[in-house]
Amino acid sequence: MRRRARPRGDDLLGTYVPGTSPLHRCPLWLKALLVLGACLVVMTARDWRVSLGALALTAAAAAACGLGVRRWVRSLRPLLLLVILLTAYHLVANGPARAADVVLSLLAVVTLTRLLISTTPLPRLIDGLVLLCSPLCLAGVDPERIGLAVSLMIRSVPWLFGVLTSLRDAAAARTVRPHPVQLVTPAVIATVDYAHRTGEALAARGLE
Amino acid sequence: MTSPARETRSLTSFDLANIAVFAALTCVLALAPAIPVGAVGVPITLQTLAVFLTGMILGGWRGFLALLLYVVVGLLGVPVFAGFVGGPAVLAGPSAGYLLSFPFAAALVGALAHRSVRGERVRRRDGATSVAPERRGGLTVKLIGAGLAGLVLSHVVGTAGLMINAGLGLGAAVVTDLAFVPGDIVKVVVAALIAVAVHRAFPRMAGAVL
Amino acid sequence: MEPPHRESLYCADVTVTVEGPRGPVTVLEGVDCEFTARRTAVVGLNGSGKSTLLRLFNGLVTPSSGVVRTGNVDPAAFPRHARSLVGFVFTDPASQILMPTPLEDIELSLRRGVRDRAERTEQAMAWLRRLGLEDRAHHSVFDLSGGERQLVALAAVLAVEPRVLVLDEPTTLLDLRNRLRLRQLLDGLPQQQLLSTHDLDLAASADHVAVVHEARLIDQGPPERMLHLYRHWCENGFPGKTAA
Repeated sequence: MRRRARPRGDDLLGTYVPGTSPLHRCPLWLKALLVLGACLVVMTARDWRVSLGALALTAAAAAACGLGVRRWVRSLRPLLLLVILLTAYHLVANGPARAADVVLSLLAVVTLTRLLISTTPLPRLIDGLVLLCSPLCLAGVDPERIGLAVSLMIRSVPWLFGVLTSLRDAAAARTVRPHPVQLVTPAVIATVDYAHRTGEALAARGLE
Repeated sequence: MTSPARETRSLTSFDLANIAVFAALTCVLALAPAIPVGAVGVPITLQTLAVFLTGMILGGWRGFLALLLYVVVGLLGVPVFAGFVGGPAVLAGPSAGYLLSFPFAAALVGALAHRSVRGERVRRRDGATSVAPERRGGLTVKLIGAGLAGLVLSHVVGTAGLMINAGLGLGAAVVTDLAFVPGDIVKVVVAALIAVAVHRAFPRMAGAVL
Repeated sequence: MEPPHRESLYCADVTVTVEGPRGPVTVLEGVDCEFTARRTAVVGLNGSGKSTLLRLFNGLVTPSSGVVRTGNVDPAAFPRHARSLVGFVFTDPASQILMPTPLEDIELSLRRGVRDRAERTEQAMAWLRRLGLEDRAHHSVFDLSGGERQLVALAAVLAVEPRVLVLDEPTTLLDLRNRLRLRQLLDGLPQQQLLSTHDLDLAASADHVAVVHEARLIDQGPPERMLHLYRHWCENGFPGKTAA
C-alpha cells in the first residue's frame, strides 16, 4: 500500500465508464443473464478453448463499448500474481491443458463480471440487487436497506484507506516507524467513530 | 445513544452504518498488501484479523451481517477479496471454505465476546460504566478465548473446503490448513487487544449501559 | 414570494446526560430557549454543548429531562416527523455524504418521495445545477474539494425540502472563499436556519445569537451585543461559577 496511490471506491468497481454503446443501453437483467450464462458455460465446459474464446469475446465487447482494450488489460493486473501461482501449480500437478483451462476460465469470469460493472452505473447495479433480493420481503427483510448497506460499504472503503494513509503519515512525521498493531488500533477507533457519524447522518436524513 | 429509531425496526440506522463500515474495513484489511511469511511462504493477509475484530466489536448478529455483506458483495463480482479478486468463480477456488465460514465465525466470536464485555460491566455497577482498567487483562483473555473459538470454526470449514475444491486428502488438507494457524492465533491476540481499547472508548458498543 | 413560515424551536429546562468512557457526563443543563428568528446562531467554546443543543431538535439526542418541541412535534417521541421538518447539515460532509457520487447522494434523498428513476435523476441534477455542481455529478466525492462536498451535503438536505435547516459548524472545515460562497447560498434560501459556529462573521449575519458555555445557555439576544460580550468573555473569563 505504501507505493500504491490510494485505491478508490470506483477502482473497486472497475470504474463505470459512461457511454452509449449497446451494452450500456442494454437492460441490466438481460446483461446479467448473458454474463451469468457465459460464466456458467466457461465453468462447466472445463476446456481451455472455450475459455479462450470467452476471453477474446469479452475483449472484443470491451473494445466495442468504448472501454478501451488497454484499460481492460490494466484492470487484470492485480490478478497477475494469482495467475502465475495457479499456472505454476497446475502445470506441475495437472499438465498444460488443465493449467490453461483454470487460468483462462478465471480470467474470463473476472473480465465478464467487470464488463457488466463497467457498463452499469452503481445505482443501477444496486437497484438490480434490491430487485434480486425482493423475495426476502417475505422473511421480513427490507431489500432497500440491503441496497443502502452495499452503497454505504462501497463509499466507506476509500475513506478507510485514507485513514490508514494519514495515520501512517502522522507516525512518519514523528519519525516513528509504525508497527502494524499500533497503526490498526487508532484506525479501528476512527472507524467506529466514523460508523457512528454515518449512523447519525442516516438518521438525520430520515433513512432509518 | 438511546436510539429512538428502535421503535419500528430491529436494525437501527446505527446498526446499519456499523455493519456497512465494518464490511468496508474487512475489504480494506483484505486488500492491504499481504505479508509473506518467510519459512512457509504463505501470504498472510489481514482479512481474518477483520473477521475477529468485527465480531469482537459489533457482537454476534451485527458481526454476522457485516461479514455476510462483505462475502455477498465479493461474490457479486466486486474485487474485495484478498488479492483483488471477486466474483462467483471464487466459490470454486481452494479458499471458498474459509470465505464462507467468515460470517459464522464472526457471529460465534461476537456472541461470546459481547457476553464477556457485558459481564465485566455488570460486575462494576458502582458508577463506572466502562470496563475498569484493572479488569482489562481479564477481558482480553476472554476475548482471546472467543476469538479462538471462531478460529477453530473457520479452520474446520476451511479444511473441508480444501478437501472439496482442491481435491486434497484429509491429511494434506489439515497440513495445508495448519500453516495458517500460527498467523491466525497472532491475529486473534491482536484483535482482542484492539477490541478492548475500542470497548473502553465506546462503552455503548456492547449494548445499553446499565 | 410566499410568506416565510417559521417554526418554533423550543426547549424548557432541558438536561442531557450521556455515558462517557469514565461514567455519565452532563452535556446540557437546564436549557430554556425558543428560537423563532430567521437565522439563529449558537456560539460557544469547543465542547460547550452547542452540537448537543442542535441535535435535540431532530431527535438525534433525546433529553434526559425537560421538554423539547420542534414546531409542535416532540422529536424524542416522533423522530421521523421531526426529521422531515428539520434538515441537518453536519460539520464534516465526508460522513454526511452517504453515496459514492454527488448525483447518487441526492438521489438517495429523493428515493422516498420520487418513485420514478428518470424523474429522480432529473430532479437530483436540477439541485446540483442550482448549486453550480452539475459538472461534478459523476465524480467520486473523494475528488471534490471540501467546499464542494459541503455544498453537496447541503443539496442532499435541501432536496427533501425541509422547513428548518440546522447546521452544525457548517464553515469550520472551509476556506474563506468557500465560507463566503456557503453564506451567500444560505442567505438566498427561504428556510429558517439554526446554526452553531466559531465563524463570528457568520454569527454576525444572524438575527439572534445564543451563547452556550459549559453545558448552559448563558445569554441570548441581538448579534451585536452578544458577540461583543462573547469576545469579552473569551478574553476575560466567562461569568458564573467558573473562573477560566
